[in-house]
Amino acid sequence: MGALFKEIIKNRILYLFISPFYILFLIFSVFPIFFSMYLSTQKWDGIGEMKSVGLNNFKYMLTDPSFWQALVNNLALWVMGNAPQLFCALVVAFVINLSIVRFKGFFKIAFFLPNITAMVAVVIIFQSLFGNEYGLINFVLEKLGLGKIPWFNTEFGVRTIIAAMIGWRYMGYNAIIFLAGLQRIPKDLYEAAELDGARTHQVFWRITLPMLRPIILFAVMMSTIGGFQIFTEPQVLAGNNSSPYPGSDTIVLYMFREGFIYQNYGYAAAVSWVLFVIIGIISIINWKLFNKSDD
Amino acid sequence: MSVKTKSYLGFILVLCVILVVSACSSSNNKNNASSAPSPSSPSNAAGSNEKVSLKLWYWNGAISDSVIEAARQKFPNVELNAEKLPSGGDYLTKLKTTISGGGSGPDIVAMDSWVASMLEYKEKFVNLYDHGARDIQSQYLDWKWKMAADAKDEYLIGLPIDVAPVVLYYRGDVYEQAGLSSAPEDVKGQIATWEDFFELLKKVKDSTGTQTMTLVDVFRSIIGQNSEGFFDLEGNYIGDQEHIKRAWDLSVKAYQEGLTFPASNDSEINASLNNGAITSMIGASWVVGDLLGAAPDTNGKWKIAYPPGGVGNQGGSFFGVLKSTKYPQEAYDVLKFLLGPDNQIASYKEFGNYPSTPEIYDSPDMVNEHEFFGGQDLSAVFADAAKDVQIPHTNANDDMVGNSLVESLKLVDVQKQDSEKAWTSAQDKIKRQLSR
Repeated sequence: MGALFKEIIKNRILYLFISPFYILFLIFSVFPIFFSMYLSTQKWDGIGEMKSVGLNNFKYMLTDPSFWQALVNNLALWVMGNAPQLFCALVVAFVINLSIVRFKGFFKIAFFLPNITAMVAVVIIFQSLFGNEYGLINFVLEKLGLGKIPWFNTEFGVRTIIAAMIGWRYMGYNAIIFLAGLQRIPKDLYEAAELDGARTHQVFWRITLPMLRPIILFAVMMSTIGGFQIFTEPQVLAGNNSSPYPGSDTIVLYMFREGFIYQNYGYAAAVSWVLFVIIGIISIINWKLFNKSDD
Repeated sequence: MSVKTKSYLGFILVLCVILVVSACSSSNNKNNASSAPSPSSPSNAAGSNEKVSLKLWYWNGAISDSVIEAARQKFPNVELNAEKLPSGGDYLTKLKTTISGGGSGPDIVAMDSWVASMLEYKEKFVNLYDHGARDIQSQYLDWKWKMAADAKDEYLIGLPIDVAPVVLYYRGDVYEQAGLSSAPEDVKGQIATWEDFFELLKKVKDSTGTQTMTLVDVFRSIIGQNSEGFFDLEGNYIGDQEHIKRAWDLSVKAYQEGLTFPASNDSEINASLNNGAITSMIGASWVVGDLLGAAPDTNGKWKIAYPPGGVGNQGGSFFGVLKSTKYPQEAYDVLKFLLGPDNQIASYKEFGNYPSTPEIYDSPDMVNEHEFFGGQDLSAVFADAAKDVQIPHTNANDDMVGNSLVESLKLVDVQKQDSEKAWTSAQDKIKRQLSR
């Protein structure tokens, strides 16, 4: 420790130059992490005195049905929003990467474009699309004689809307990442496969997929972390002052409501730590699954 | 990289650094000037040449900008920095974090109808009674004034801006089609109670097929008229008692009789206001602006009347002064001017914020014959509905209770849940939350 300090003092000018980063990092990242850890054992409304409650926040959380419902909703949204989307992204990337496809640049941009749109605007558009009474989708369904579907009234309907939003937004992003991974695969493998007379689907399953494993791990992990932090979609969908639609109350939304609407800051901090642990566990499982057969 | 590009890049880098550094320093200077007066000058700057700097936080529509401009003219020694912030929950969060931070925040802050929840932290606000508020108390509506005063009426944390009397908005042409009189006085006479109102809605529904707003809106309107809230004065939970259950049962009844529009989102409600699927709604005075925007196709067809079941209040805001200010007396003087009766008329004309000073209700300046409402004078109805409002006691857990109830009530509509079952599950959930 002493030696380290000596080294820092010796190079203080250099450390001064990089200080903007670590000062901001200390104030806005390190401090809040430790403060929220402390806060999770307190009862605090944001203005008054803090009151230490030990592990009561965690105990209450584990017995709160709303918390477990939020967890179930989150898992459902994560599966519905990411599994089809990641698979489609992989197929799109594979197709764009085929040598017969022209205008690659155009397709890359076109698929990526949804990712840079403003989330709130997208939610409002989807809200109008899926509207129960006057939505465009229900209008079309009715014209086709299929009858309206009350999208916002059922858990499955609401989750479908949110999954559609996630898919629409992140499919292109993941496709671009997969594409980068595809281009990393050595050409000679494909050439060898071609010489051996492999078909396209054989090439996809036998060469592309195994070679892409690290990239897929990355995409799945990022989607998992993102999937457990779903917030904007259900929040904007339900509007500012009302509760979320059935089946769309996610953990982050639950935490936000407890913290910033009901002013239970200590409890919200406890929820955020449980969320951290959940994401950590799922990331480790992902890691193990995808790295198992590595040599 | 060629030498030329390198020198260009270097130039841009230097430029950036200069811009960043200069931006930092200039804002620092400004902060120093405003937050740290030199020790030699007295903290109460009245009489001295130094300008008193007051920062005011409000949201769009809380008060008219022309009134703020008038205050700048009136108090040449006050530098009034009015900052417009996003309204709603974000504003409240920002205010709370500012207060808990205790740092140099604004001096004057606008507060919405949640002002009563701030009484818990009254020591963070200036007691306006200490600065002469008692002298102007009689100008304002009594119930409104008391929302910002503590139980003993000794500590006042806010001066009233506007009130939001709740009225019935209805389509005069549709009521006539249903064989009803569309005159506001006649409508008022027919809807003394909610049951009477449902009778009337039934007639409208049977002959025109149109409805009122969702069962959640009906529920909120009824509890908005109660003199008791979810908690009593001692903080005991009373949200499972008769006055709330009655509102619940009435709104379920309206739903079961097919009088309410299916629970839905705002854009659907707006569409149904415009296409004539919803022809009656209960709303505060500020709904006028929303209606104008949502239903342009129905221009001239709406009317307003005294609401069913008595008066209520939804919204309407306050201005308070934070304890951290250096100039409490100046801040109070500015507020007294901003919220004086004459300026309330100006805000009403600009935004439709209905004044909280009853003495001007009969003033000829207040006549507001609105084209959208077929030339009806809205002020007459608002004045009638602004009187004798009962404000229930508030509690920090009101939002949680209200949201839990509404969440369950909505299930009666969207998932056809049994009303009693939904009521019980809502109460269980609330009691669990309160057990913490």
